Amino acid sequence: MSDPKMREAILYAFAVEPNRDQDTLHRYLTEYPDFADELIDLAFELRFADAQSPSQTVSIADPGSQSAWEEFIASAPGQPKPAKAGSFLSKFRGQTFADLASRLKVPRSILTALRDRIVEPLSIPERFLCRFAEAAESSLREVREYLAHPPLVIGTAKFKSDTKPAQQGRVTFRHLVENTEMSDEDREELLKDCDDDGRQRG
Amino acid sequence: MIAPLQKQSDGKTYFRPQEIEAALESLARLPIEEVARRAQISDAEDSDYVPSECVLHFVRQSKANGDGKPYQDLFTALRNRVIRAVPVRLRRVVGVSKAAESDLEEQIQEKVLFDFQKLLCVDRQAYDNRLDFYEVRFNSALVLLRASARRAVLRKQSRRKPMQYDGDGSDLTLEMEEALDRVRNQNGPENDDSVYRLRFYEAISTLPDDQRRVMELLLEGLPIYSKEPEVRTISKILGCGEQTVRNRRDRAIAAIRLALNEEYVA
Repeated sequence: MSDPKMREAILYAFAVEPNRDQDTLHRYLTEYPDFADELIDLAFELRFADAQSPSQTVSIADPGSQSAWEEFIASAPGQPKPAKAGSFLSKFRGQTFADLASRLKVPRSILTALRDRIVEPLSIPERFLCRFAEAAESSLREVREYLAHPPLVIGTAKFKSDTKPAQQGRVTFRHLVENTEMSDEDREELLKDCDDDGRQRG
Repeated sequence: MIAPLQKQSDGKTYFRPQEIEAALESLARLPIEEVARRAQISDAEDSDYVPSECVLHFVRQSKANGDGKPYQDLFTALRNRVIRAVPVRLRRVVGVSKAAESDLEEQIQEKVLFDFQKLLCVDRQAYDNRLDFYEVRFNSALVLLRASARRAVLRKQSRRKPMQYDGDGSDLTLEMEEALDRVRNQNGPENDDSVYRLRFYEAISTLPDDQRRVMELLLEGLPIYSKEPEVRTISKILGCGEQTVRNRRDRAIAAIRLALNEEYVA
């Protein structure tokens, strides 16, 4: 019976309360008894978040930043769609990205490497490219065009170094598959159409 | 000069905290390139550090002011703030291998980034007052997004089982009372107990919902039961009997003890 928008607004309001104490929680629990469980869960999440310090962050790599920006500026009313190079995988993020990897039967790290264009395009078997295009609801041509662009440079590196980051080297598809954890069966399937030197066969 | 927020609650408009308003006023006098430069600073102790609430404000302003390089830099900086607030850490949690845990956190982070991006895009099309909450307290509002993301990811994954303890719960209560006192007595983030507190909360976060809620209310300092009808109790809030609450608490503290012992042994 509860309106999801109202529920979201109540939870946001609780999250940003300046005083996070027993009285505040009680006030919300009294006013919104239907959301008691969610409010208590959120109270714990806030407590947990307060205990975590940002220094524990291991990595802030954000290879999706460029395509996210293009999507953002294209969101304004009347704006043209973003440039193709940035848009190919931009609709796959979070769970949909994981789902795409699962449809392709590859670990997410392989999909990430393809998204970041660190795989030598000519080393990728044609059969895999077709499956990739189909799973991503795209065309073979679009996939090829996307992969042919230079590797994405991790945006955050630009701010952490005094020198311009060097272009990342590319790896062959075979090298990537051989060095990624997966079942032998899946690995064999992916490497079926690869030559020993990592180039695509015939 | 700084546009007020539009979000209303009970007829009242939301206001940014005073320090955020003051920071915005001062930043608005600088060239946008300088604001973008300062937004890259991640050390909150730095005198030029720009609070995330302000970075978001300027990103929202890009709609009116153009999409030049400084705004893209601000946008990138904002995403970095989100990533920092939802880190992928390499840590050990009972019952889950390190790789699986990192993978789980990575998926949560990606979903948070995705959901936040959606908010930004919707706001760009037409004002979305949900982002106003982020201009009030950015990291706190993000906690809600993170909690929803975690639920969604866990729903999709059955491999992570909540901690369970089925043994005898005797002799655990006193020990846990001491532990609760230890995590409740916060003398500041630098005190020696901050690591212990984090481990303690991590252990609670993996408990089944009913046990975790009892633990949260205990942390709030609420009694399990009271004869006085006007006293707020955990039993009343959760709508279950005193013994049920005690059983949940006992199972929870046994599982937490197990987790903490394994953490320190490992």
